[in-house]
Amino acid sequence: MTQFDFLVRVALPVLMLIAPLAFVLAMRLFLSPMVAPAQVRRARILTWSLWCGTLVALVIFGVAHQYLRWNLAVQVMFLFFPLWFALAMPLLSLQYPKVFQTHLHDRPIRTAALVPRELENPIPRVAWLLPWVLWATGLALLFWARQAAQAENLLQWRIHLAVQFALVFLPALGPSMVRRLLQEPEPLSEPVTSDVLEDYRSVRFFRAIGMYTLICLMLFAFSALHVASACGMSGPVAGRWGTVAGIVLGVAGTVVGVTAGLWRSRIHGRVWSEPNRSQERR
Amino acid sequence: MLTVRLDSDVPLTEQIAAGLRTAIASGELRPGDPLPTVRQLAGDLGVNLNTVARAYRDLEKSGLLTSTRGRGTQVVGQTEAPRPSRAHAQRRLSERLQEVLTDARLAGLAPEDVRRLVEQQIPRFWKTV
Repeated sequence: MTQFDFLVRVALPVLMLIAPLAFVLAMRLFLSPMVAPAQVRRARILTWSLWCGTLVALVIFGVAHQYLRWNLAVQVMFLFFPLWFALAMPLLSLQYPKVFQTHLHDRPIRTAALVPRELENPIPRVAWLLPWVLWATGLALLFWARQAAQAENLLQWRIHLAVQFALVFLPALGPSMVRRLLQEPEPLSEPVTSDVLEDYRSVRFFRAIGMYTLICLMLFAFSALHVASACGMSGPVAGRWGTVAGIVLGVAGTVVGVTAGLWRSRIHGRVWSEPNRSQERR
Repeated sequence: MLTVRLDSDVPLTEQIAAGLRTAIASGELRPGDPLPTVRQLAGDLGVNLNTVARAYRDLEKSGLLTSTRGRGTQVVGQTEAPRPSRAHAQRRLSERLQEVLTDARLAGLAPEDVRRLVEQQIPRFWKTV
C-alpha cells in the first residue's frame, strides 16, 4: 500500500469519524461551555450520543477495513455527516450559544451603525474575474481534452462537462454571497468604541476573504480534476484526489466559519459586558 | 449611531425614523450619504425588516430620504425637501414642546432638570453654540 493509499483509505476515514468529537472537545480550549440548566439534560444526551456514535463508527470502519472490501471501509467516512450535523452541531449550539447567535436578543436597548457595510467590500469587483477565468479555463481545457477522450470515455467526458457547467454557480453567485455575508448583524451598545467597530470590520473581512479564497480554490481543484480525468487519469485515482480536495476544503471552510463565530462571540461579550447590562437595568 | 428601546411605549418605526431624523439634523448624516440597507439595519437592531422599511418610507415621504434602484437609500438633505415657513416651523415646534413639557411635568421633573436636558442636547445640533 502506498502512502497515498494509506492516507485516503485508512487515515482520512478515521480522521473524518473522529473529527466531530475532536471539534467539540477542542472548543473547550477557546470557550467554556455555557449550558443553561434546563438544557443540561439534552446536552448530556447529545454528548454521550456523540461519544457512542464515534465509537460505533470506528468499529464499523475497523470491521469493514479488516474483513470486507477496501472500498466499503472508505465509504464509512460518510458517517461523518450524521455525526457532525445531527450530534456535534446541536451540541455546539447548545453549549456555546453565543458562537452561533447572530443577535443578542435579550437586550432592551439596541444600537446600530448608520454606515452601509456593503460599500466596504474587501473583495473588489475586478477580483471576481479570477473565479470566472478558472471556471472558463477548466471548460476550455475540457473541450480541448475531447480529442484525447476515446470513444468509450465519451460518456465520462460528458459527465465532467456537465459538472463543470454546474460549477458556474460559484463565480455567478459568489459576489452576492459575499455581499450578504457583509450584511450580517453587528449589534452594538452605547457607548460605542472604535475598537469594537474595528474588530467587527476585521472579522467581516476575514470571512469575506476566506469565502472568496475557498471559492477560487474549489474552482481550481475541481476544474483541474475534471480536466485530468478527461485526459486519462484513472477514475479511482481521480476519485481519491477529489475526496482529499473535498475534505481539505470542507475542513478549511468549517475552520474559517467557526473561527469567525468565536471571534464574533468575543466581540458580543465585550459589547454586552456587565457595565452595559447594569446601565440598561437602571 | 441609531439606538432604539424595545421597552419604550413609542413604536419602533417611530423610534427609527426619529433617530434617523436626529442623525440628519445633527449632521451625522449629510446630504448624499448612503444609508444601510433595510436588511442590515433590521439585523443590527434585531427588529423586523418591515419595521425598518416603514421608517425609511415615512422619511422618503417627508422628503429626507430618497431610494434609487441600484444605489439604495440616500439622504436628500433639506434643500430638496419642501421647507416650511419660519412661522409654521415655530408653531409646530411649540406644539411639540408643549407635549414634551407635559410629559416632564407629569414625570415630576423640575424646570431646572428640563432646562439642563435641553442645554445638553443643543450642542449636538448647533455645533457652534
